[in-house]
Amino acid sequence: MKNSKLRKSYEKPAFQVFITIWTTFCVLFLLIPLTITIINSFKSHDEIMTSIFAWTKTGAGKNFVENYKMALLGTDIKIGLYKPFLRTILLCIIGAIGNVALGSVLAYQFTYKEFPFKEGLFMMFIAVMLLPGIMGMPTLVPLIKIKLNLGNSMFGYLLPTYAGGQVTTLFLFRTFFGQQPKSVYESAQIEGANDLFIYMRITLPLAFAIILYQAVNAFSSVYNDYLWPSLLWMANQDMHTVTLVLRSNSDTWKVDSYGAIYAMYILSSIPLIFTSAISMKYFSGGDFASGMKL
Amino acid sequence: MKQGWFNAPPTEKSKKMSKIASIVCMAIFACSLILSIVLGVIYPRADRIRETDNTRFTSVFYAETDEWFYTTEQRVVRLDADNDVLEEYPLNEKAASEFGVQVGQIKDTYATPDDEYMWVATSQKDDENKGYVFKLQDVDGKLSIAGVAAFNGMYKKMLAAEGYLYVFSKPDAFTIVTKYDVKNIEQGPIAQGALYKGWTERNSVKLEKASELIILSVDVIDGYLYVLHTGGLIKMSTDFACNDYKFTYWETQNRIYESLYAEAQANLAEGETLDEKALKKEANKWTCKALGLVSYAESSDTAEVPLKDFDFNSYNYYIGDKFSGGAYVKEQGKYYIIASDTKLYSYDLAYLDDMPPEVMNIYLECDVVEGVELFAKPMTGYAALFYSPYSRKAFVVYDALSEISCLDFSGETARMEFTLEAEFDINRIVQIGDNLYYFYFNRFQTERAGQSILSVVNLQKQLDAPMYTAVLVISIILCVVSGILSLIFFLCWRREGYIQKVKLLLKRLVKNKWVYVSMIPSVILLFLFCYYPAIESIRLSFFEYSTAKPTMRWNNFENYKLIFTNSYTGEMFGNMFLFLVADIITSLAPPLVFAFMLTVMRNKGYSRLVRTLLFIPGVIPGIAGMLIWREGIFSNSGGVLHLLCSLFTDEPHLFLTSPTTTRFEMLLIGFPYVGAYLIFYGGMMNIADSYYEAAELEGIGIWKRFFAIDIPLVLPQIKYIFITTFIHSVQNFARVDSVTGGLQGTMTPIQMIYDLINESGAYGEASAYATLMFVFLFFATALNLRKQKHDSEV
Repeated sequence: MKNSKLRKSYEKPAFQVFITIWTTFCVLFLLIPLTITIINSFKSHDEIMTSIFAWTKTGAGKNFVENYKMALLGTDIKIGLYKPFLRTILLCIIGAIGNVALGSVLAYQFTYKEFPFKEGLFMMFIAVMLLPGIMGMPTLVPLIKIKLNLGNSMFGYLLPTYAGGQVTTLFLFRTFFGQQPKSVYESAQIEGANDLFIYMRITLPLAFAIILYQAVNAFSSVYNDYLWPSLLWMANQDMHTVTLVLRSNSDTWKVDSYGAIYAMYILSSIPLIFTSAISMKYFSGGDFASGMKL
Repeated sequence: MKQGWFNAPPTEKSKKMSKIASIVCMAIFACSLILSIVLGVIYPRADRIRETDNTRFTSVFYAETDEWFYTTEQRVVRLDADNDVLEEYPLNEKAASEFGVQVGQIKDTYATPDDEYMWVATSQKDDENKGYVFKLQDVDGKLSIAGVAAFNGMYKKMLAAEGYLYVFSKPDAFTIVTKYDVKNIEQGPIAQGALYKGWTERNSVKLEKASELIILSVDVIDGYLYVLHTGGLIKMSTDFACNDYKFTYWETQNRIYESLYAEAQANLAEGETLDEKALKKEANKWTCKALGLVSYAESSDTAEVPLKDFDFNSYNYYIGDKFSGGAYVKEQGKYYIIASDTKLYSYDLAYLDDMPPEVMNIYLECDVVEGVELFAKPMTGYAALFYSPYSRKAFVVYDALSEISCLDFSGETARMEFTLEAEFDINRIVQIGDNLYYFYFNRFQTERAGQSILSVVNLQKQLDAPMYTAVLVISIILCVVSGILSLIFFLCWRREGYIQKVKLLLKRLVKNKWVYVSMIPSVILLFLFCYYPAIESIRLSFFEYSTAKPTMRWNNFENYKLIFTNSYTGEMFGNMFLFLVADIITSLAPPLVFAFMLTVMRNKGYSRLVRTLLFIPGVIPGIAGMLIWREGIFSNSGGVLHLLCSLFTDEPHLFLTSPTTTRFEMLLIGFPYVGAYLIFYGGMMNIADSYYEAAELEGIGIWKRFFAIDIPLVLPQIKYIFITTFIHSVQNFARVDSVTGGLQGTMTPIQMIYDLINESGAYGEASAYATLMFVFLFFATALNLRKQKHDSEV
């Protein structure tokens, strides 16, 4: 009697078996795309054309070198990932730093200070969320390319990204700054610290975790971004980011270097491995807003 | 301001000061308001002086001081400096009555203030391929025809110089020039030449017709005739010594052929017929011999002249790069040319002396004029240049832009003097005195399309226009600021305690100045890149604006009509809805179930393993994921699905190829839709066990528990996912673009907007789509906003 009472309904073996099978099935299925990518990056082009699942027969090592070398360095006519990588990572880092810097300053002001027109200004920042990204595109593209002539510069991409991103960061940080212990803040004020000091020495260190989280978020969202770089730089090969290169190479390399294409996908995941690792270290458990692709 | 001032209570003195201040501000407000209105009224603008309905203006010119002329298709009209009509001369009537000549339409005029004659070229009645040129003169203040001559071909251009009149026309594939004696045009052409393109061969020069050229400018310089055209420059001697073969050949050939024919006829034997072909060949041979030509191809009128007899100074053809307008500035000895880009080029004619001898088709190396930037010409548009030799100014007009650029050639080089906003597609523009006269065809504005309009603009005022604008802007700002200030001061004076409020506000503003300063970059970014583009997109959707036609004409829902009548639209929005519904379902149901399964899984270790494993696919960039699906899974030559299907049938389904099924196949991407399960998992883990205990006591089953407890308690997360999925699904570009590029019936609105922006540069249309998207998304974004605000305040 005691046993059966303790046994919850969902602990029936049949049910447990069912959910185990289902979750395993899901996991396996979800790992298929990744598996094919890894496997095929070790195969030569012809082998891939024959069968997508088979392991390589012609020597994994040799194919590995060939494919990854082409993916990274490219050839005379093909573009390797090497330069776009560096370019994109630089773009992502600057994007992340700018986003976090702007957002944290704004959040600081709105959390700790009272000033005239505070509500009005806050509304002004919030209202931007009413505007879907797509809405400004037809004007933004000629604005950046023609009127401001930033079409060939990193900042042509970054400035609009900052403009929208700072709002999301503002929201996120406001909640977290608000949770910081007020006592520290108050005692610093009594000691006569000015705002800059408090911001740099107290707020930022205390909020390090969430700042890192948002920086990683901003980094990945720039890294993954396909639409905006495509609108700006499609015609300008020297500015292509990793996403654009992936896209265009997938079309042109299909003819004779399928293996290199898959190698390319693997290589392009490396920065995201780092970002995921960082975020997982700080936030495992799925508490808030995590679990989204980082 | 010292601290004390902020805190001091209001005194009588400060009230008096407020009174004075408010009166002063109100005075400023009133003055600046009046100034703004006055400036708005007298702001330099173009004046329409004449409009026609059934006919068109064909030229504007001036031949005498204080008077100017314009012509329509039938009349020549003389006006004075105040734009009052002095005389209307019906050319067609006069031509018929005085000379018995039936005139078609006036095509063009040529006149210079020094000449005693004015020249008018017309077509012949019922024959566009022939024309008349009239010599007009001023007899006692009235116009009269002093002479008339006919010419062959469709009129192209004319020039009177050094006692001769040159008329360029196009009777057939050739463009020819006919020369008349100015004193006696009735006697007919003195000489005729053709415009040839040529090249040098070993011992001869081949000349063939220079076709497909539009004449931009003709000038007589140092005794030679220069023709600047869209393909380059032609130089010829004024007697057409080396380019008259088309005429001399046929003249001679006719005579020779006739005599050969007569001879052959006389010698004809019984029963024989004349071999006309052989006779023609014979005539050709003899004519060439007579004229000293190496050969002459009759069908194409291509002449071959022996090298020793050809004088490259008497005729030469130089190649230019898609010229679109140009003029010769005598004082500088240079041609100024506009080509197909935004730069102004100059070509010093002295360079021609350095050309290698005995060669044709040399490329003209033009110099770029520094510091002059013309408007970016649209891809399909053109620009034309009109030069006024007397004021040494040229005007550049565009067909798809409403600007006029004024270039000044009075110095050593060219300088951009100003640009002014006028009209599109100006047909001609001339500076007379201080005024700029121009006419254009009113094609686009809604009032009376098909109307030709002649307008005048005062140059001096236009040059001062920036000053007007500056003063106007300052006075408007002054008006607004003084208005606000006067209101504040008024309240301070009249209302009790207001002064204190204002002082308090100022005190707080100053105390927090660094807060505002720190926000300045953010605010600038926000307005420049978020608000302005969004609002401007809405505004743009009502305009016709694209890189091909940056006209910015008010379109008045044209763009929207285009969208709704486009046959693709239904499919596009249908796809958007399809994906939206599918995305919402797949982002809610399967992840919820999956998360639930993980929470009730007894083996926590396995649960953790699963969660860890599921982080791994998230490491691939989004676009790579899509591409892997396209290449590895959907591929019809060995992809996963293909293999799967071939297990069951011999003719496996071909994926992503059919316009009807492709969109549904795309829904498979992301199977088995685990999605954002981690958010739901987090939410479910936070549900207090007490709920479950209570439920177990009630004895409910698994699924009932799922629906009764888990789902309602993760409702906030569900709302969050719903809203964000909604917003992202509609804007999901990577999916469609990388998998099908919008083909196979998978076009979505965002793909359309992208194509319109990137491929056609059709910003107006794209804005219309974007505005529709905004309206559609509004409810979702508003909900999102409310939720975020609520969450961040909690």
